[in-house]
Amino acid sequence: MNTATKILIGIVVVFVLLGVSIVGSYNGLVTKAEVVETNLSQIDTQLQRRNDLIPNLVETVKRFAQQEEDIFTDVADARARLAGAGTVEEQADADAALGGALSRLLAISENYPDLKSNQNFIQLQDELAGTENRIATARRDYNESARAYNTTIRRFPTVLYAGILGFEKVDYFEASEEAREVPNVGGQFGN
Amino acid sequence: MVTKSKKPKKILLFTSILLLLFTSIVWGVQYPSPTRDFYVNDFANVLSPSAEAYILSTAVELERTTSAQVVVVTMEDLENEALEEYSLGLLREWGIGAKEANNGVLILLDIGGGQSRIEVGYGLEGALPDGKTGRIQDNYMIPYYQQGDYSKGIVEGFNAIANEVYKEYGYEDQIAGDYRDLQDNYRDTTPKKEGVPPIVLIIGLILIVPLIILDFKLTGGAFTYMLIRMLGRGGGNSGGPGNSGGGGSGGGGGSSRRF
Repeated sequence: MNTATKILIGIVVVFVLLGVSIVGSYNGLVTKAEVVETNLSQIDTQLQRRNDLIPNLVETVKRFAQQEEDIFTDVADARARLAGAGTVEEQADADAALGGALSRLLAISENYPDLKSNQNFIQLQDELAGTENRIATARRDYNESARAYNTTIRRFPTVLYAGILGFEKVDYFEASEEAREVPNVGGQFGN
Repeated sequence: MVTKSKKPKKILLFTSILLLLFTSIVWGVQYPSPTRDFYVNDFANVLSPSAEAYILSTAVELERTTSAQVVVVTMEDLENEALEEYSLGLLREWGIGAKEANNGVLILLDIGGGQSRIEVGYGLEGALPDGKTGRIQDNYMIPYYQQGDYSKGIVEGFNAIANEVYKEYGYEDQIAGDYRDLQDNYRDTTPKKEGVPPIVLIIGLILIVPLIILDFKLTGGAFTYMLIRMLGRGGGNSGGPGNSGGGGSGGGGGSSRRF
């Protein structure tokens, strides 16, 4: 084999490998985009699940603590905000606000021993905690897949064609700082 | 021609080290490997031998009849790990439950932190809703944990969960009665995993190894690394001796308690 043949073989091999890697990376990208989509809908499912739990929980708490009007209003407001949220970012903010309002709703049970030991309340509390945990999990899974996807579209060789084929960067499900702040609840407990 | 026999070995070693690196980077948290028994992992050493033996045989039977896996793990101390994240991570890492059915349950006991959790895989969320797992802990587990009788608490909780799983699959009151004669009713529908025939592997290697060598000569291995990265996390489940997870997953269902 002379040098020219060797170089030729080298070039062919490079192109074959490049071709294989582009096809492979395209398929990988499609899969990743699909996973992002699935994970986002999982967040929606879990948010909806929590949404469905709230009326029951509020009703139960009201039976024992009807004077805690502020908290019921907060929960209702946050719930409405989440329902009206359009973008992933708005959703994340409203989710954080509702999470805060709900944890205050649960916290007032400390002041009402009858409520705290109520079987129905304990069960609802478990369901809510489980759902919050599912939301957290879905959020983590989504962000992880979104990160993998966003990294891929900026990487070679995907970066060459990702934009042309309409693969765009996706948002992370992260609440902004002010949404995450827990409102001061000290006054409501009278301590 | 002496170098020819050395090169592939070197490259193989290099690739496997790379693969190892990748797999360990993916997860920040280090989970312990399951014991050979798989269904009962008494890392904290708080269970009596008879409790362990009972759980092992019952869990094996449960899996044979329903394909569901119920796994017990006791930890000395979770330290800074969040209980919920850790237990879900462990359920996923070990692949508790069958792959498509995701019918796994993890009973986790953290002695140092005084925490207990029942983690439910996707497929059993209907049979074991969060409220029910909370009640199982309140009624059958936490009272015994508080007295320091972890074996009793684990066994009682395990029985309650196994009963719910049996019910879900159409067997009533299995733990109380003799459920062994029912195993014939269950037909294993999951297809057997088939390995790649060795001849295909050999031919594949013969085709690929020269390409890798060429790649390392010409580009310093740039394409090899790219391909390895693309393969990412796959494979796994090398199936050592003893029992193992079926590849199930969960989404954070279940409940937590402190005691």
